[in-house]
Amino acid sequence: MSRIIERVRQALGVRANDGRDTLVFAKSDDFVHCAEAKATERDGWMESIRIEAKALNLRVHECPDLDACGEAIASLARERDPEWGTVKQIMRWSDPLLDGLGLEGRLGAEMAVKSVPGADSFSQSEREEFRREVIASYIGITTADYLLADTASLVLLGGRGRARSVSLVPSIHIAVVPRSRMLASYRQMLSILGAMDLPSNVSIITGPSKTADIEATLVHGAHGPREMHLFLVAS
Amino acid sequence: MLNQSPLKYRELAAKAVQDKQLHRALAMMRDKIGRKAVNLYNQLPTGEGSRQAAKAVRRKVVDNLDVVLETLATNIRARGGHVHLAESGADAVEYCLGVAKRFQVRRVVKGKSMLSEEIHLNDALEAAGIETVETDLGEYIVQLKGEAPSHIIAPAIHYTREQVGELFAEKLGEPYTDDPPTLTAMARKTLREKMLGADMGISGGNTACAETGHVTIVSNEGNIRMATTMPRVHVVLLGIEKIAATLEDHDILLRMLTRAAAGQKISTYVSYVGGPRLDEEPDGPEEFHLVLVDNGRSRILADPDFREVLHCVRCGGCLNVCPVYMAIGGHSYGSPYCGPIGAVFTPLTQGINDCHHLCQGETLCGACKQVCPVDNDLPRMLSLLRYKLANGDARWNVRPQSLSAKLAFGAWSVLMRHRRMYDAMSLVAGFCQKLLPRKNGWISRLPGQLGGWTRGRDFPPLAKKSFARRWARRDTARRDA
Amino acid sequence: MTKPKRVTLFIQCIVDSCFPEVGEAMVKVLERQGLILDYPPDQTCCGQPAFNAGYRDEAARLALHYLDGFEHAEVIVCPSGSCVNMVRHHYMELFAKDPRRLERAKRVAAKTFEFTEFLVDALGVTDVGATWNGEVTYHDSCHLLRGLGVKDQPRALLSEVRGLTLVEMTRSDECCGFGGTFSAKYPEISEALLETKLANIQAAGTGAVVGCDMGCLLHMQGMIRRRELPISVHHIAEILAGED
Repeated sequence: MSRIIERVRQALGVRANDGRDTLVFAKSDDFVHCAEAKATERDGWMESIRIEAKALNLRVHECPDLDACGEAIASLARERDPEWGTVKQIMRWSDPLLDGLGLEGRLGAEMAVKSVPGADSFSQSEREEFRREVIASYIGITTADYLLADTASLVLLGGRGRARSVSLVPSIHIAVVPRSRMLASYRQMLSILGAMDLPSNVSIITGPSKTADIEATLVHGAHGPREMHLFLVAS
Repeated sequence: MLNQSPLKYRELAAKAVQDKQLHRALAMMRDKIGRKAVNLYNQLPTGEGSRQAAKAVRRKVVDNLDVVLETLATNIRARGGHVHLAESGADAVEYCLGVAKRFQVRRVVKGKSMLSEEIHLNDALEAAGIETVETDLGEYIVQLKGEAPSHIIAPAIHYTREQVGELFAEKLGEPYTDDPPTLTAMARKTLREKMLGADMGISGGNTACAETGHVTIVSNEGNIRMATTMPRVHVVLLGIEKIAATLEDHDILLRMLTRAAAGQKISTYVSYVGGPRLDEEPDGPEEFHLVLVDNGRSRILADPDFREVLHCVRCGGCLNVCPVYMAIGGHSYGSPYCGPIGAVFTPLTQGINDCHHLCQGETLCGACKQVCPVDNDLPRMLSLLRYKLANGDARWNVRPQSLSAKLAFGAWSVLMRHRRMYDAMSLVAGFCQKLLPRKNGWISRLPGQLGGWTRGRDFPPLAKKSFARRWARRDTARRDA
Repeated sequence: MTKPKRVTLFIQCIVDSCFPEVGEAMVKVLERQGLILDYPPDQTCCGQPAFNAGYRDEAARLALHYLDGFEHAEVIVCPSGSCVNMVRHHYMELFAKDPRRLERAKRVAAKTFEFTEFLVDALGVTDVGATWNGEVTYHDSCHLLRGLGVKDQPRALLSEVRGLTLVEMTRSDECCGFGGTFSAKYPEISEALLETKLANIQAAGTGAVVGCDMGCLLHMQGMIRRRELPISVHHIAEILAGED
């Protein structure tokens, strides 16, 4: 490794430890303050999200509270059929917000509603079991840490009780997000992320999957979820 | 083994210019993405200064590449990831095979990576008995066909839907259809199985963040996320230059990249991945390897005239506006990097003499320079490559391409300094042109090397009296008046 | 700029030897503006053909010849965007390592103009009193457009020509495929680009194309004549010199 770094230094005509770090990693004031700017929802954010979502084929549902949200999601689950096989199963993140949806109660008689196990570690067989359960699920439900108004993007940080595959493997991805988590822009999000200890995995998701590889024709539904719903909860 | 060679440029181009279907496909990239890119850049908060802003970020990183690489490596390792710096393509391949062997990998799924094509990784994996499946729809199509990608972003753009339909009917045993959504669904089903049953996922990276210790990967299909989340091992291949220093750098870089590459404000999936899964995460790879590849890049870095080419973010934007690329397609270039960027990068990494067609087979129209999101001056570098081919170059091991051309231009430049010689040459040419076949006054066949012109075009004859003579006569007439 | 006392003509070698009528048309337009013209008889070539092919030392000899011949001029006007681009941008590259010549090159570059940019930007004139009846479409030559940034000036001049209607073609800014020696060394590619350009010209439906660079225009005319296409080709100087 050091041989290549040495070669790079020679190519650049520089020396190690000559204080360039400061310049290279400097942040502009504007960027730093971006995070500090209070992220109260402003006029136009909701409209921006609706407009972006339409082009993305992202379905946006605005709900007054978790109860209404839970009912709407249950309705959706009843209407939709699994893409692979016939058995309906839902996998959701473990999260107080999602607990409040009451899906186990609403749907428990009709289909399995499973939660990502929240544990400090997992055995190999526990991981394999979880993997099978996610693959068997036709709907994956997550929350999001932030919702970006300029692009209608969801930001999902990795962590306990959360799994990456829940927003990826099932055919339908449902994200439940309180309106209070809206941010203005990608830049503001980066600024906020920059001020925290980041996990090893951050996913920013903007609509369902798509491709235009055949004759530049846009097709929704490539390898990731082919359908995506954003449920925005007022409080 | 794909038999690609930049020496076949003229031959392949001559065929490709007849391929109307190719032109129709590429024209879609041009009209839907290429010609709209600059307007999209201007819509950013940085407005018309966006390209300069992105260029400044890239220059900062490349000019301090040692610092950024070291920081990236340190931070990825702090997350439990492995970092390997590979000097050559062969070194990178060997490392990947080593990891695959350790995990007894039988199947690899791949996200689109031009770098993996550059180092011929797929061939090496297949030779080692490892099933290697491309998961990007376009890459999957060309892989089934046994061909090379023809565009940096849209590898299968040169196929019609009918051709894809026939291919899937043949290779996947599916009933024939030419409907893109149906074809996509077929690929979705097949590749889902492959990805869920793979032991190792190999991807490229669009950039990286040294300050936080992450690699940044973008896609619209979700295949890269799946290929790098479900298997036990994730290996990332990244050129040493293709990184960023800070999260703030990402703001302008990613926004410009997606606009240039696909006319999008943002890709469907942007992932920051920095290491293996944490203990409390129930899924994700148990090992993460970042392979940073040099393979000729540090040599480019050392030449201040060409260092700029390392700023490239591999958006494919230059392809989408290049009239030559539009006419000849990606395969003509004989390299994973085609179009204007390929015309500069390929000679610098594979040998300038061997790639002389790539240096000379363009018009230097400058369309690429205007659209490049990091304001690269590819025409300047192409012109410089021609200079090296004309005179030879020690640093880049270039032999002068044509002694006779050098002598001819030499003589021409000496004679042309004197108007009398210019006039004498015109007199001789004026005489010789009488011997050439004509059509309605214009010359229909030129001799020797110039004959290429008259293959399909006529050439103007010299006027009876040059402007200079007419002026002199007018001057005399005025004086006499 | 205040009206210069004398304007020195730099006549591109292609114009001088094959299309002198273009030079004469430019003279007519400039004299109609009341300008006094000089023509240094020793001028030959800006060196571009050698430069584009990579023969920079050879091109530098001709660049020097240009400096010798033109550096004492008050202002220099040329009916070719590519030559002016050579002078304004590439001469700096040629003399980058020679401070004295670089200085001379910079000074002469600052007073070398392409014909349409001279009329519009330097003289502030868009109506040159021309008449030309018919419809034309306009081709943006690469060096003129992207090298010198000249896009509006020719259009402004054309819009004031009595009797003339300008119809824009699809992708007027796309390269015609000339590219200097490229056109002979890679004829298949060069012709493919030219075919696209001619198709776009024909689709504009005007039967006539105007441009500011004889390199591009002779390229177009070459295939038009070979294939006997119904398109007439004009240098803008000829249009602007047109009279009732």
